[in-house]
Amino acid sequence: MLFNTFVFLVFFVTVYFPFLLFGLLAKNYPRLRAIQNLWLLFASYFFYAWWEWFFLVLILSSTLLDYIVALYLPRISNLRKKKFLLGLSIFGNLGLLFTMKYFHFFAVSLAQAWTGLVVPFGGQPISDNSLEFLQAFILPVGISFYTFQTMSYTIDVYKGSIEPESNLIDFALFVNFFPQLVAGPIERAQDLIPQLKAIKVPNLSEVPLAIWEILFGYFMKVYVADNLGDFVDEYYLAAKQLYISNPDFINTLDGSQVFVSAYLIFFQIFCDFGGYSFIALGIARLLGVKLTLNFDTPEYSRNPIEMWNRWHITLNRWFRDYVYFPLGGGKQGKAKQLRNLMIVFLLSGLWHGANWTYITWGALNGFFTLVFVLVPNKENMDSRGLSIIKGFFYRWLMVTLVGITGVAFRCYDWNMLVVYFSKMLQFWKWDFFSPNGLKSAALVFGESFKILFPLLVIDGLSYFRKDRFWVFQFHWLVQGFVFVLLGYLILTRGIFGKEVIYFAF
Amino acid sequence: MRFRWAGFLILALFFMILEIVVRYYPIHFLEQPEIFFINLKQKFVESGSGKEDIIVLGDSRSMALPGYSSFNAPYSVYNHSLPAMGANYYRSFLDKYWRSGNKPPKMVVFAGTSFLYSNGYGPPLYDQNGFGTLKNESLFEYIQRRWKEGLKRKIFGSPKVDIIQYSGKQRDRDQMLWEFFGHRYLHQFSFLELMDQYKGVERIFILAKSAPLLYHSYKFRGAIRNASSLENWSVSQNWRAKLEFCEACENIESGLCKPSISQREDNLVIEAKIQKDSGKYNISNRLRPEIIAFSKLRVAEEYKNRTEVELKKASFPAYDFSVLLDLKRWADEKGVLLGFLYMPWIDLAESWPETQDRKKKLIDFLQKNQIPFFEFPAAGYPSYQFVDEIHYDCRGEKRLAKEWEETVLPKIFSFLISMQKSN
Repeated sequence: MLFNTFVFLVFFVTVYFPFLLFGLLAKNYPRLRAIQNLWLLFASYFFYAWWEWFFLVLILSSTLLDYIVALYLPRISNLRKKKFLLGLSIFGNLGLLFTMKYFHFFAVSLAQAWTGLVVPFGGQPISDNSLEFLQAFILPVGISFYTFQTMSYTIDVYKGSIEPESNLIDFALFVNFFPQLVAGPIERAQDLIPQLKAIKVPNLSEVPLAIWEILFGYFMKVYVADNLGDFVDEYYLAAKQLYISNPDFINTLDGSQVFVSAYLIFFQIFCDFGGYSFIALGIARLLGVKLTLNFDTPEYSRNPIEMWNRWHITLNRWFRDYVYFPLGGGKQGKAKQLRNLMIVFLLSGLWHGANWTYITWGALNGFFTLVFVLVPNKENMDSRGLSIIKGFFYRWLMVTLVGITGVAFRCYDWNMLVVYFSKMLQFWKWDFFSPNGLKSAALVFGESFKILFPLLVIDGLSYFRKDRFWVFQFHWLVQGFVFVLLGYLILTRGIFGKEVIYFAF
Repeated sequence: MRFRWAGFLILALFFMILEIVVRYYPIHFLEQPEIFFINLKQKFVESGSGKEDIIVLGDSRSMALPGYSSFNAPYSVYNHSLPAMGANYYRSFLDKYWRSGNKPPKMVVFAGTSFLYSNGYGPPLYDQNGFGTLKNESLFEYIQRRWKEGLKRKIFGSPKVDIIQYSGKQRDRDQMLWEFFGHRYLHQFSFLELMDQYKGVERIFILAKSAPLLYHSYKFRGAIRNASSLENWSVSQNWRAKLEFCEACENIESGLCKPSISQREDNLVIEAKIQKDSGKYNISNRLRPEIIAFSKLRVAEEYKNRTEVELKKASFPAYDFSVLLDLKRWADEKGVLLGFLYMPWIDLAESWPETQDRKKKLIDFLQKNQIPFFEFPAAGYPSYQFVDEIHYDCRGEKRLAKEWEETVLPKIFSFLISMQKSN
């Protein structure tokens, strides 16, 4: 069930009114708090099962595993046994993730390596038919999000940072809370569980903020991302199957088209995922729960560190807390810091998918970040004018670099990636009437900019005023103008019902 | 933070005013032509002003058949063909025609393409793969099926993703088909009508699609978008002259009859043309001449190649004429005559063994059910009289109209006269 469908609207309205009733009555009848959570849990399971009931088996396994392990961890004093239990949780969650998401990738890579080794010596290659079973595993929606969330809970209990949650319903709701279940934000237990355990009734002053988040989220998703998506599909084809049936297609693109597509991909992914995250934030706020901001105007970042503190914030926080810091972070010298950073970026690439293109994406972003860390940071002594010019340049450079790595992210395989990157390094023709029959780079850039302009203004104000609810500080007529503009664009130019890119991760 | 609600009140007010305007202003004149056409037909039928003796039902190909007023013919004829909406639509359309207070016709002539009458009802248009639902499946059956499929399809079955390219877009085949056909259903039939037309889970699916259109600002969002451009409002003073001028194939073929860039003027021309010819509108006359030329070459080549394969075919699929049977039952129940009109197709395709086999079985079926069969002097036209696999070019359309008037209609009229005499 997607947020951008009518079915979700019906679902939410059906869930919301009993939820509110339980919440309001729970002040006088405390037992209704448990009923409220049970109702939300039931709704969350229904929401998830809408894709496929079988996915529930996986999420229930993960929930029960971490619930039981976390309950036992504080009762055990023996460190080896504690480590064994923690290992069991990590093994269980990663095993689930590995089986459903990476098994095919590693098995096929291994089979290809085997074939490469044995065939020159007269051995039998592994045929495609024998790999058919491996290819049949289908990635359950949101598995990378909820497994990481539950794992972090168990690790925190192991470290003693939090107490285990004894109420199974409350814990299950923490794992399955529907606004953030399938695409994050990946929440920390200490942030989310206390909110879920409380009686949930939205504060009236929070409701306008929630509506703004939802409105802005829909604007990003159905207007910006999905309209840009049609341009991106033109340069990359909408599905791997089309690419496989048109293998020569990739050779027809001009470097200018690949270069412009880098910007499109940056903003498409940002608005697709960011928009969905904002809707999640707004819906959760209507349910009386504050989730963590997942995207904070990343297009205005001046350097890689700022970028990754503003882009998919909760995943980067997870890697920082559970990988970067345990590896030593930046406390063991520059060389180890660079190594740790690179490990984080490679793992981040792998988290996105079992494909060398994602790993390349991670590696390239890691490389840029390493270069930035190595360059000495001078104190800013520039004049205001120069500072503005530099600020503009650095921001453009960041979007360009991350966008170019996005080309790797969007390519279907290594071959396509190599072709597209080599196109960017060749002479660009900038044909207005493209011989390949696709829209020219200049035309696409112009049309995309028109789509992006309102977003850049809104996000620019959020960034420079350091307040994403800036609109409420303005005169009500300005508020009305902004809301009507976004509403009008959603209604008349939005594309409804398109999947969210990050559901595939 | 004092005025947190004021902006949202403006937003709500804006959408309320917009809705009132959309409901009371004929906004469909600013829609794209196909949606306009569907709405025009819907309003005509719902107005209850239909009074013709014979109505023709078919698809975008049979839209090329002109109607007649009773001034120059013994019976009046109106063409109610619409761009294809699947086999489901005909019975529902006739029910609506009947219910809306139009004068009951003496005869209904079905003139649809073969896939609309020989393949049964098939899967729903919005779910061609049957991935989400099956025809008239009850909720219990649906849950049972999905329970079994859950394991099979999501763990040990490959995902059914069928991305196709169409009109510059790339979408999943079902999604594309729904985008292509869906608005025809949803604009032609109201929420309540659709509730009556479907059963079981299919009803839930279609109502979920139809419910957002209860908000007319969403239903006509394309028109609202077009309304923001002044260009779409302009209407030239001599737009009616275009009607006569574009009767001549020479003018159409020289590219002088392309649709106006003003959406409103274009739709006014469509409306006037439909009124003038009692429902006739040959949609291919809107195409640019260079596209027609390119398409004709492609069709000629494709059908030549396909013919080589088709001629070797020895086994044919089983046909399902249940759509026609249901229409016959409806006609008998209402005391209306039903006739079948075999529309000319590309001559090469008419020579294929499968086409011949289908035609033979169709005639057997019609005879068995006492449905009169009418056909044109030639069942096939040369491919150069088509712009694609289905639609006639201007010259094909002229030939069709001439033969319709001189050969087919007199037979239909004779049949009707004889039937009325026998009663």
